Order: sequence, then C-alpha cells, then structure tokens
Amino acid sequence: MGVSRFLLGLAACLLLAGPALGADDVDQQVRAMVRAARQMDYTGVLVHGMPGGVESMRFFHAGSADGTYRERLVMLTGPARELVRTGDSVRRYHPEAGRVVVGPRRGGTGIFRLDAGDLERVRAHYHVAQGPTGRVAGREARAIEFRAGDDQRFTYRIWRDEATDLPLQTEILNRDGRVQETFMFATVDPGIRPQDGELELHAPAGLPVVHRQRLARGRPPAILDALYLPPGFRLKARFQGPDAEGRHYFYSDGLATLSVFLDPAADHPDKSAEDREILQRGALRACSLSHGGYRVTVLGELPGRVLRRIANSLEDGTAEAGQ
Amino acid sequence: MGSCDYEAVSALVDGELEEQECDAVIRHLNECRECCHLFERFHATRNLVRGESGPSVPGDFCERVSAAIANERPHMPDNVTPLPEAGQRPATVARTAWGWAATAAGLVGVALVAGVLLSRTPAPGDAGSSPTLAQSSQSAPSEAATPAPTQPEPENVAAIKRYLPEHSSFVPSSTGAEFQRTRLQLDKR
Repeated sequence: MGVSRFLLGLAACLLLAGPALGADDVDQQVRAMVRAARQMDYTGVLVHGMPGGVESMRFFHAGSADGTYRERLVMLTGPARELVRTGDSVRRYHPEAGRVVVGPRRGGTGIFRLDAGDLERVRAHYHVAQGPTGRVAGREARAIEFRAGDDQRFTYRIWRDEATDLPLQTEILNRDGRVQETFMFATVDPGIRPQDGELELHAPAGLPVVHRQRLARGRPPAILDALYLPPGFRLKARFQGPDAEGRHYFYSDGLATLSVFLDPAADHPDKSAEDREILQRGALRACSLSHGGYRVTVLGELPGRVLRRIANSLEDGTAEAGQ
Repeated sequence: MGSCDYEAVSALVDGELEEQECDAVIRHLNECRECCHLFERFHATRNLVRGESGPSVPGDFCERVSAAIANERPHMPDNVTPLPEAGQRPATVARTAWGWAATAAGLVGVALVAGVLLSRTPAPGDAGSSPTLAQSSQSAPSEAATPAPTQPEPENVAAIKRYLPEHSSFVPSSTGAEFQRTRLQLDKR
C-alpha cells in the first residue's frame, strides 16, 4: 500500500512537472533555432509556396559566432532578382526595373525572422508548443508551433532540423489550421560556408542606385494617430521610401509584420471600387487607399478582417479629426 | 503514332516505352484530347492499384498541358523543321517534343508541389469571393492561353505591387496574377 501511494505521488509529481519541463524545452529549442539560423553556415534552395504560385530561390548564408551574418538570395523563378544582407544594410537588385535599391536592414534572416529579444513578447501573444515530427529537405525535423493567442494574427509552424537546430520550414496557418503560405528548404547543406563571391550582389555595373534611409525619430504624420494595431504590435523601424517623399512604417509582434506606406497624394473625390479592395497573396493581405492627403498602402501577414480594421481606423480617425 | 493507340498510352503511363516511342505518344497526347483524358484515367487507376495516396496527376492535366503548349509554340526556333524526312527524325524535332514533355513535367511538378504544400480555404472574415487554390490554379492556364487586353493598372494595385519588395524579407515576384482580389467593406463600427 505504501509503495502504491509512493508511485501515485511520483506519477502526480511527474504530471505536474511535465508541462513546465516541456515549456522550458520548447523555449530552449526556439533559442537554439534562432542561434543556428544566424550563426551557422548553410546554402540551399528555398521554395516559397502559396495559393496561386510557387517561387524558388538560391540561398547562401555565412554566420559567425557573434551572431552577425551575411546572406544572399537569388530568385530562380521570375525576374532574376537578388538580395544581399551584409552588416546593417540590405541591397536588392531588380533587373526588370534596371536598378539597385540600398537601405538599412531589418531584423531576422531570410528563413526565420524571429529575434531572440522578441521571444518574451511573442510568448505573450502566441502559445508556443511542440509540434509534429516529419521530414523537410530530406532531413528529420520537429515542428515548433507558435499558435495565435487571439484572432488578430496567424499561427506559425517552424520546422527545426533535429540534427543542427536550423529552421527548415516556416508555415503560416489560419485559425482553421489551413496553410496560407510556406517557406521551406527544398535542399540544404548545413556547414557549407559560401565563398565570398557567392555573398556579393551580382548586378551589372553602372545601374542607378536608389537609397532608402532610416527616418529619424519624430512625430509620425497625424494620419497615423488613429492607426489601430493588433495587441503586441510595435513600431520596429521607419524608413524614407525610394521616392524621397514616401514614408514606410514597419510594425511587428515578433513574427507577423505590418507595413504602412504613406505617399503624399491628392484625395480622390470619388472613391472608386478599386480603392476598396483587399489584395491577397498567400498570408499577405494588402490594401491601398487615398485618404487624408496621402496614398496609404497597408501590407501585412494578417487575417483579412484585421487588415480591414487597420484601414478603417485610418479613415475613421481622420474623418473624426476633421469633424 | 498518328491515330489513337490506347496500348501505347497505357505503356507510357507504365514507363514501358522507348524514348522515340515516348516522343510520338506525347505528340499525340498534345493533339488528341480523348487520349489525353485516357492518360489521366490510366494514371489515376495505376495509383489506385498501387495504393499510392501521394501526389497524382491533377484532374485538369490536359487543359493545363494544352495551355502550356499553346504558350510554348510561339517560342519555337524558326529553324525547326516540322515535317521530318521519311524514316529520319530531325534532332530539333525530337528536342522540341521532349521540350514539350519537359514543359508538361514542369507543370505537373509545380502543380504537385503547390498541391502538396498548400491546401487553402478562405478564412472566416475574408471575403467569400476569393478563389481557392484549385480555382485559381485552374483559371491560370486559360488566362495564359487567352491574353487579357492590356488595361492600365489601378493605382491601389500598382502601389501594393511597388511596395511588396519593401515589406517582404525577400524579393518576391509581384505579378498581378498572384494577387487575389477581395472586396474591402469599410463598415463603420
């Protein structure tokens, strides 16, 4: 009898301790994944899939122990665009436009945008849990799920390489569990350090270079005073657009991102149907309105009605201010 | 293979044809809708018999191949000889036939990747007019086969496409066909 009581108590202790140990374990896995994505060397082919299209790109990543890294993406489908992240800058080559765009870099890598510093904030708005096991790019993988804590955002499922901790695939799921968009390695070679030439932007000499500058801190335009942001979203960066007058405000909750672009423009006296649409591309929803003396363009990986509410807030806010 | 040879179609599905025989059957499939549908059915049957639950040939395979070929033909080099000498197959024709087969294979590959990677229904709160993956993938070839008259792009669409690379963490292509349009109802709360 004494033994069975002891066993019952032990089982109860294990049951109680289980979730806590599991949470710590998942937390460690997330941190290991963030670290691997930045510090490891790897090359591979990335596939970006969504309803209506699949794109692929070659990916080169050179990490370092201090977390700084260089990486290059070369599109294999569509225009042969390229992107190179080095130090604090990002350079993009747009062959179809015949120009190179240079600007400051945002956080995150091409395959995994989460910063370790954002993890606590992410935990406040997502339930982080162990996901299923499977194979990605021929490698054994285990998923970590960042389940949306409310209906204001999507769920993220990140597949982690069990051998190296490298994130191999990111899936964005709606609240029905349907995949909206996926970003995955089709092939990957961890531990292969790209050569210097593979990390440089390959663009013809003499192309015009357009610079995007980081905007100094200051009061945003009044049209943004009424901007609705889902809980957990914060302003992460602000840029001056390639066209000097434009402004780009970039928000994130650590995983999901939202961009608001402002271009000075005359209001359309008659708002046409085209001005009242949401465009959808995978998990991305986008809307562009002419209002308050601006062409306001909003893009974000957010449910359609959340983006609609954000757009509404801009209109309602300035309308109220004008009354 | 000028006329319908159902056994050859079956042999193609089973991978039992020589390269030159494949050329002929594939050319015939490009021209004969009935045999193309037969190819679909054979393929589906084979998967059932083998108990394969994995990716299969999409139901609209024939239409998509036809549309792809319709797009490919204008790009044929001018020096391709359409009618070979008797008993002799010009290498350019063989390459073209295989090029079409490769196009078909590529299409199937992309369709399978898309099908395997993605399954989507409109999320609650999204406008119901948004097409599903299946609808959008089926409509794509017909759009490609019948080019729409060029119209000036609405300002909102142009702005969204212009800013997509600025928002994204990579450099996605931003052709309009990849956007699905839904109605934004600016309801007052």
